Amino acid sequence: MVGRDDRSSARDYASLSDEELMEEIVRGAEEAFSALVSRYQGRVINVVSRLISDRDRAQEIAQETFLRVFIHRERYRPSGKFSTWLYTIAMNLAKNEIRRRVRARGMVSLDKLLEATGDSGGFIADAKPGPERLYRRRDVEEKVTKAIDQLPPKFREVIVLRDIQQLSYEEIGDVLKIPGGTVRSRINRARLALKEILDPAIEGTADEL
Amino acid sequence: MNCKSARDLFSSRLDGRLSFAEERRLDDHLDRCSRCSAELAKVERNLQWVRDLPEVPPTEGFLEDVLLSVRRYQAEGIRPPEPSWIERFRSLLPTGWIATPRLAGAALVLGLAIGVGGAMLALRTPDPVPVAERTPAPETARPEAARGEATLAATDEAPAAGQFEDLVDEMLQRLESEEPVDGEPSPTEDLDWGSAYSQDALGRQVGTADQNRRPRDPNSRVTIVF
Repeated sequence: MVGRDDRSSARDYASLSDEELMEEIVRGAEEAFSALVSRYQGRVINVVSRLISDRDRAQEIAQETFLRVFIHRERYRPSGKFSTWLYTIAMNLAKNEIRRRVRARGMVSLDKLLEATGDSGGFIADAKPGPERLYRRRDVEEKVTKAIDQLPPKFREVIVLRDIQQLSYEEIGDVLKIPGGTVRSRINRARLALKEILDPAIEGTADEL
Repeated sequence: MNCKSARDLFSSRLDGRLSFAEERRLDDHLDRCSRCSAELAKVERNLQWVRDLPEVPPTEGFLEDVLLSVRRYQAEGIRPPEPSWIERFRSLLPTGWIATPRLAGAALVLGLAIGVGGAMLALRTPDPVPVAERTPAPETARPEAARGEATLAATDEAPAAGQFEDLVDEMLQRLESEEPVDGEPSPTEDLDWGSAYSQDALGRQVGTADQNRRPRDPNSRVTIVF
C-alpha cells in the first residue's frame, strides 16, 4: 500500500490534524498512514509498556494497534477524537495481554504480574548528572515503575493515561468508558494507592532529587 | 472539612480542577492539618516522579514493521484475530475483572439458565385448576404421548407457576403405565430429542424416533436435557 518514499511523503502530512489524516487514509492516501504512525508510535508504545511491563511485547502490541487502526479505518468517526479511539484500541489489546499472562501463570491477582513478567521496567533515560545522583535517580525510577506495576489494573490505567500520557479527564472517561465523576475519584484513589506503595520503598532514598 | 474530604480533593487540586470555593475550603483545612498537608506534598512529589519517567522509545524500524504488516494484510489478508466470544464477554465486565474461561463460561451458563427459567415462568399462564383435579385427556387424543413424542408445550393445560415438577411427574407416570404396542419399544426409554428425527438436505424428515431407539431397558427413564 505504501510507496517506497514513505518518509519523504509523510513529511507532507505532518501539518494535518489526526482527523484529517484519517480522512486521507480512508481516501487511500497511503502516506498519511505513515505520518499517523510516526506521530503516535512513541505514545502508544509508552502506554502499553507501562501497562504490561514488557518492552518487547509492547512493541508488538503497538504494531498490532496500528494495524487495527488501518484495518478498521472506515469505522472511525471524525466526531470523536482520533487519539481517544487509538488509546482505546491500545488499552484493550494491553488488557488482553495482561489477562493472557495471568491465565498462563494461573494467577488470580494482577498484583503479581510484576513477578510474572520478570521485567520490572527501569526504563532508564540517558542522564547527565554525576554518578551518585544518577544512581539515585535510577533507583527512584525503578521503584516508581515497580509501584505502578503493583497497582490494581484499574488504578494503573488511570495513572498511565493521566500522569504519563497526560490525557484530560474527559479523554480518560472516553477511553475507559466511565463517567466523569468516576474518572475523578479513580485518579485520586490511584494516586493515594501509589503513595501507600511508594512511601515505604522510597522513604529517605531520594529526597534530594 | 475533615481529613477524608480533604484527601478526596487532592488530585483535583493538583490538576487544577477545583472550584474557587473548594480551593478555599481545602486551603483552610491544610493550614490546620499538618498531616494532610504533608500527605498532599508526597502525592505531588510522586506525581512529578511518574511524569518524569523516561519514555519507552520505539525500536528501530518500528514504522517499517507496521507498514510491512499492513502490506501483508493487504496482500494476504493476514490480520489480527478477532476477539473471541469470551473476550467480548470480558469486555462487558468492569475494569479489573479477570475472567478465566471457566469462570466466564460458568457465568454465561448461569445467565442462560436464569434467562430460560425466567422466560418459561413468564410464558406460562396461571392455571386455576389444581393438578389433582385436572382430568387427563383421553389417551386416544394424545397419540404423540404414547409414541414418546410428547413435549411440554403440547399439553392441554399450561402449567401454573410452581407446578412444573408436578406436571413432569404426571407425564412420567402416564408414560410408565402405558403398555408398549407389540414391536414398539417402551415410551420410557431415554429419548434423544436431538437425534430422534433428522432432516435431509431438502429439509425432509428422515428416520423416526422408533428407528433411532436403542433396545428396550425397563429401568431407563425419560431424560430431559435443557
